[in-house]
Amino acid sequence: MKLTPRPTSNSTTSDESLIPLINIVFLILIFFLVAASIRPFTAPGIKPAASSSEDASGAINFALMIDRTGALQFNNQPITEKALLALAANKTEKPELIVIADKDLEAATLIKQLQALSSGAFKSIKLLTKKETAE
Amino acid sequence: MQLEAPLKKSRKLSLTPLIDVVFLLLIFFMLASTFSKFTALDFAIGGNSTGAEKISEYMLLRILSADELDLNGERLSLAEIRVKLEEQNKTKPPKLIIKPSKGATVQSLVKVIDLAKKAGITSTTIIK
Repeated sequence: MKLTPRPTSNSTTSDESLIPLINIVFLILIFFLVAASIRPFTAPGIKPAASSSEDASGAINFALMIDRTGALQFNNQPITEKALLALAANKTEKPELIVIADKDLEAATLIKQLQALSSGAFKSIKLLTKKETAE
Repeated sequence: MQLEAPLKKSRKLSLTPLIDVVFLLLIFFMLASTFSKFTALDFAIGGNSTGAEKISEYMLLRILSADELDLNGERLSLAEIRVKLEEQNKTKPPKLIIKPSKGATVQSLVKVIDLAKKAGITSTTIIK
């Protein structure tokens, strides 16, 4: 008895051979969607301080970045305290200011800058920190 | 006259565009996501005082450098300060004032804020 091979088209076999690959790619995609969260935007040179506090950070709408030299950045552009206060005043609702400061910045410099910004233009001022693992 | 419906050739959908899109999504999520968690600490900056508060309600915690702290003028370690704050918090919750000295970094300030939170202090003010 002579067995004849089943006629198959080339395109179907090449597509079918891709199915295991698609399965794995889908699995990796779902893993990232479930396990990870979107990284808050930080300028390349800024490393936030580590903290063991439990407060979760909510949506970041108004983020001020302060690098280790104390220079202020907003939307990746240098900004002055006055310009930032003017931006906050333009908003219909008082925004919550999220400060992303470099961990090596001098604390006194940070306080001096935040004192200038805490004139009632913002609902609250919060410092963004990276959660460290418990001791 | 009877018109015959044209024969529909059933064509298999190509998977290539789907794979392209899935790969793009995967690359986006790999680059944009992070596994580290971020927290937002409340930052109460000290302003002008009315002078009406009793000075005895306050405790002054000065950050001299990364591991050098002094509480009401007494040099103590992080663990000792935590014990003192917990003890004080049991009797009369103090209002803690944190004053970083020159040279103290944001990391050391955050460490002290964490310490105060762990000791149960609810009123913390940071001054220059």
